[in-house]
Amino acid sequence: MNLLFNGLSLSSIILLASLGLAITFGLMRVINMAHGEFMMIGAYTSYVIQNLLQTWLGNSGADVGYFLSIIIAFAVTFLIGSLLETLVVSRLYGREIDSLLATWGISLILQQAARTIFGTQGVLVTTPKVLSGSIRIGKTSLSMTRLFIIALVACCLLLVWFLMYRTNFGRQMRAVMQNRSMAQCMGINSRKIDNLTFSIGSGLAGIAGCSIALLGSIDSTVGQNYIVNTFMAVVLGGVGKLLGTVLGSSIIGFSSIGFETMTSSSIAKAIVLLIIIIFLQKKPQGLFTVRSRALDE
Amino acid sequence: MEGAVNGMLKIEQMDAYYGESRVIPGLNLQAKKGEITCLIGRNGVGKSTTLKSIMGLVKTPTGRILLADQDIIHMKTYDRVKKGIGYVPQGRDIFPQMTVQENIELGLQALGGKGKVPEYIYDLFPILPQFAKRKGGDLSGGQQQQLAIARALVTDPKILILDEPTEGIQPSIIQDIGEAIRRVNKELDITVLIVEQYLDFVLGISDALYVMEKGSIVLQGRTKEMDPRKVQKMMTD
Repeated sequence: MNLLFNGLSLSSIILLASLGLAITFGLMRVINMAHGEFMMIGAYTSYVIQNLLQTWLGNSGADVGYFLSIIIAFAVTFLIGSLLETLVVSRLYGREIDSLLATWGISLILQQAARTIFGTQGVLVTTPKVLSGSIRIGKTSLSMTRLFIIALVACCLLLVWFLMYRTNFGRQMRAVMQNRSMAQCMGINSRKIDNLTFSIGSGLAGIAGCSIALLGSIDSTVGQNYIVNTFMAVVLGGVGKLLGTVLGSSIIGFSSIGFETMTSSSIAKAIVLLIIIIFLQKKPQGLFTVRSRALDE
Repeated sequence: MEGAVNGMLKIEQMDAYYGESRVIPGLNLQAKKGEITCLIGRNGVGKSTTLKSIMGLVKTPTGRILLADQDIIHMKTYDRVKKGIGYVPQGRDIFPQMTVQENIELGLQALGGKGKVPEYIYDLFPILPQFAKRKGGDLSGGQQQQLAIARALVTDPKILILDEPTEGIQPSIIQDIGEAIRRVNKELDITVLIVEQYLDFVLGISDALYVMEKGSIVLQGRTKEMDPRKVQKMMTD
């Protein structure tokens, strides 16, 4: 039970961090190396908003501040994402290596900006009272913070699914990502869709940042700890498939925890990485692939 | 040169480029209102590039593309669609992961995402409602072609342009596709411009014919006045 909960918890954190990437990388094919820094911005947004409200409202402000910061973090990273897409990424579509280098440069700038503003020492977000402690089921103790993150992931996943598959915008977004030229030929303004899609992906990274702020101290490199796992989850699941990202995150999360119990944390990471490399050599398109009947049928 | 009033679509002295290479030099072509015009030629002579130029998918720095007298050459692709050009590309380019219904409804984007799919679409292609929930990529070639035409018609076009609509389609289905194009032209009063290589299909369906070689028009005229053997010879030489 304990193993299962730890696996679910790690999977949910990887999934939350991967959701935004599933959109920017999975759908738009932009290798956004600054994705981790959007998480860092989200985490620092929680810290700033919580401190502001704590100053104004006292201790109760800290609790309200944290929950409010989730929405604000989404808005802040959404806007920064929109700006980055307009000024940099939009000029590099179809040039994957160039966009990788450019966004890596942006990530370094954002890290340095964070060090300049907040210093090199890590800062802490106070866990809201309602999320302190744990629930005991049998012999297993379930941390409230981890349960909250699992619930937050479920909400985000549901919202992303609804946006992608049940709205007019989602349909346009999928059309542009599947075939940009053809989508334009259906009267869709692909520039607008590109910008909004990238911004939403960035916004989700901001929300992920708020959740990791509950797990430890925040510094300029906090997002970097998650970036490898998130890319692996998206690629393993099959680029462009939301369900694939969910499965990819789950496989990485559960297998990491499973191997950790048998070996050590670093050995477990190496084993998981090795398994994924072997799997991708056999099935380079990941768990889910897009099928289409060709001509001449 | 005839007055633009007869020309639903008129291309004047248009150059088209792939990168720095000029692949179409100074093209002149006209699709008259209410007619079916065909552009034929061998592989690689620039037929599809001509249609892509009309859609704004290829660089066209010079010349004019007049749609009902309005020059659209510098417009974005999605604005050209909103002005009234429906496009059925070579290979259909169905969105494979979307359902048939979603593919069709995408055409409503040209109308601001509002409105409903007109009933005549399902009247023209009765097979589509049966497969509404099926993924576009799972349809056969002929069914995909019907879907591609339906999707373009939902954009409420003044002119429908089709790139090799018979490519990879069974002969029996080609007849159905031809009949649907005729009905679109006659019953819906939509001007049609087709790029094709299948000469029998072209001779049976078109009012006017253009033959292209190396990016230029080398023969043009009314289809019924043309000598099929001469056209065939130009296609095979």
